[in-house]
Amino acid sequence: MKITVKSWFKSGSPWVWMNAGAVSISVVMVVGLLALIAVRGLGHFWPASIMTAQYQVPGQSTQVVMGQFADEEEIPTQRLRDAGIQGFEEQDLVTRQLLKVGNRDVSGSDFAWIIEPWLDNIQYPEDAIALERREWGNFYGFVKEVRHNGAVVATGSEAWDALNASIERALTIHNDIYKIEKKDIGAINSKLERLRLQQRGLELKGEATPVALADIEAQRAELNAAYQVLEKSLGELYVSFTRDTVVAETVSGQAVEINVSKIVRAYQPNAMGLGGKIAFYGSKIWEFVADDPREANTEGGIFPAIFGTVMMVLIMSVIVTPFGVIAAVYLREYAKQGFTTRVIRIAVNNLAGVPSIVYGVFGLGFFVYFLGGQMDALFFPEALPAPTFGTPGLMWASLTLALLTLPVVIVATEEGLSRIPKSVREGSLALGATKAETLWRVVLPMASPAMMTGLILAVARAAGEVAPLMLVGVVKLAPSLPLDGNYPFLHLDQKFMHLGFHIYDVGFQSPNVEAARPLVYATALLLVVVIAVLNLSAVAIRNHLREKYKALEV
Amino acid sequence: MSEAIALNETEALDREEHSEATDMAQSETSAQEKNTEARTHGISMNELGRGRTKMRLEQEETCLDIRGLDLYYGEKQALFGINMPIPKKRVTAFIGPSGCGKSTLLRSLNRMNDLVDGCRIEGGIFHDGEDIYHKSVDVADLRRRVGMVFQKPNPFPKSIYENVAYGLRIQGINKKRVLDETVEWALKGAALWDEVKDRLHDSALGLSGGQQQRLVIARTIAVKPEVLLLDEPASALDPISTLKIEELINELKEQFTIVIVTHNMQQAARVSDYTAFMYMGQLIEFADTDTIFTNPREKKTEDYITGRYG
Repeated sequence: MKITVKSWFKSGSPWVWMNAGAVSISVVMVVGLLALIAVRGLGHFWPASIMTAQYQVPGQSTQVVMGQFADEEEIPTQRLRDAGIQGFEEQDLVTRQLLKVGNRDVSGSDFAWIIEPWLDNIQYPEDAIALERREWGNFYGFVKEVRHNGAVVATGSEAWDALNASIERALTIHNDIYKIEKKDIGAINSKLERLRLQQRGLELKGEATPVALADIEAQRAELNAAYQVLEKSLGELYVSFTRDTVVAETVSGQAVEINVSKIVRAYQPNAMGLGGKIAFYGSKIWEFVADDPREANTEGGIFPAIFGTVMMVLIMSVIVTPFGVIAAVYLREYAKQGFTTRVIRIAVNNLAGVPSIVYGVFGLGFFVYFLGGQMDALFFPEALPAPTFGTPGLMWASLTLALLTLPVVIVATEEGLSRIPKSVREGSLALGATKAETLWRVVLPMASPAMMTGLILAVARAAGEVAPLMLVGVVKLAPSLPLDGNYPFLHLDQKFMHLGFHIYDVGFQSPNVEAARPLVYATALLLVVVIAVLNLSAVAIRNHLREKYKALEV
Repeated sequence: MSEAIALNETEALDREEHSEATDMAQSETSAQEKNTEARTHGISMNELGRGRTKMRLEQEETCLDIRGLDLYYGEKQALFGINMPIPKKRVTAFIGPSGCGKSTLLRSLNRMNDLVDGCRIEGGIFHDGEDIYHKSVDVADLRRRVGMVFQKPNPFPKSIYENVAYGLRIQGINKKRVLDETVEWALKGAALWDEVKDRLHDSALGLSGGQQQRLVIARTIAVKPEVLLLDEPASALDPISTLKIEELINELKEQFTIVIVTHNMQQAARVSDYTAFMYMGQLIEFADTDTIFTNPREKKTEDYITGRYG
């Protein structure tokens, strides 16, 4: 029996194949993208071995190089010739390696491209150390001595253990200093600032009586006294913080003295076993997720960015849900259906298509300058000319994104409301409930899964948005989190960090491109994870609601 | 021949076999009956086991008085000059072919038609002497006094308890003792208590169709309305559930004025005291059920009851 092409088409299988193919391509692309991001991003935290080698550039004297392997690529030799490098007339391609050589304070750059065929005598010395510093990037070399207050306490093989002990001690002190500076002194500063504003407010109102001023002055004196105490203990801590130094030698034999207070972490990757490397990898990942950024965002963690993203999305959800739901309820339940509601619906749907940067401009012009300016004049005159809400900040960013995602919530809620069976509404009305009671007690709970669907879409869109945020509140580095222990605890007027903007900033605005590149991937992965977590929790809530309000199948 | 009648009468005593008895009466035995009315018309009233007390409309106390009611959906008129008194604590059935306006009439008794865009009425419906369409009437309060049960069971997606307590909570009654008592009373009144007393806090959506419909009736009687409007309450149910609903109607008429719309003429004959036949938006005939089914005044009524159309 012969199957003709025509009957094959009629059977529908070509369409099934086409659809299946399209779905598979999509899945492969998504998985591939995630895998690429994950591999490029997560590999960065693995402690690569430190290699030392002799590097013989033809016609020059032999150098010794030391560093961690970072990347490798094949390049056409033509490029080398164009750059004036001779020696590969016969080949077309040559491999070159990117080596993280560190020691920026000594050599001037963190990374070096090494042409592989010129490398010789590659070794992985066990005692090679890497020091992660708060400034100047990594240091690679060999530890020679550890000194306390300038006096040598350990040399040679003991020096490594002494160094670790010193670092441990310094980190503890660093934590104490951090706590005092950020928490205690931060609280005092915040109180002092409020006192200043209070005084200025009294002066503006003409109520600055000597009694009131004296009261403020007394409080200020009290705070200042507390500050003096803290400053004294801080001074002592700083003295003991900077006690230890380590003398290390670069591979070229240059001795460098580094204060231990500048060191975050020291490790000997060549001496580590697999277990040690995994533990180190875990601690690096944890640092990335839970710590503040260092060195112009190219080192350390991105916790403030994660926190800012989640915070902004939550505030946005809190704003957009009631607005969207109320708008949808009015449009669907109360408004007389006709030309006007049609126009409004079209307008709402079109809002969803407006480029997000336009919302950013609107947010800056309307929210920040107009609303914020008015609010400052009305409620915070004592702080002027410094703006309180008249400057980009968390609240305006959340509001702008709420506006951006409002159409999604309205459309989804309307859809849900229209699917509530008429019979259930009538049942409630027939029991003597008013329309509002029916809405509140029966219709809205039954439509809640649809609202959650709208919110999920809104969160997915808002969390990934960057362009409007650059105008209304996101910054490269925020000194403090928008939520802390100082009154009023949630600082809606503060600027904040955001993962999406962080990717842009690290990727394109960073002074250290090579160091930043893996962080771009790692941050992107984290952004995807944060959005996925936010979405999945919303999906879980929705499914729970769906189960609860399983509509009567009509 | 007399044996056949006797047999029919004994069967009629057994309520469970009502429909079989009437079917037989319609198809085979009607021609053999002595009673001329029974021979002419499809349903033998004798076989329905009803009380023989003769009902007379003139002697009844009126609960709802429909006077000259015209109803329009936009330009289209759906009801034409309906005049009828609905007697208190009796069961009144509306019968008629599909689209004749019986549901519309029922829904205008508690102003459910207000929800339809472009619906307007002329004339009036008087409840205890007050026009329910008057501007000053609180519609929610009217609907509390004139409760309604719909064709398809429509429990809320809440627990059984909350479904029954819904109307009370709307009225602001939140005392647990009052709620508990009323829920039990209403569920017993709707003959559902024994089936659900152990799972009052389970979802009402887990009940069977017949149980759901009785739950809806319980929900409606929980607010103690004066009038109960039933819009084809058994049309979506199986025969056993239908039977239970009909028994329930019989019990509820002690306390409530009941108006029922039904497509099923046997059902109308079984449960109602008075029957109104409607056709094309007009009330053709309204009388006690015995008269309508045995000796109708109008030719159209007779034709419909004997199955010539509809």
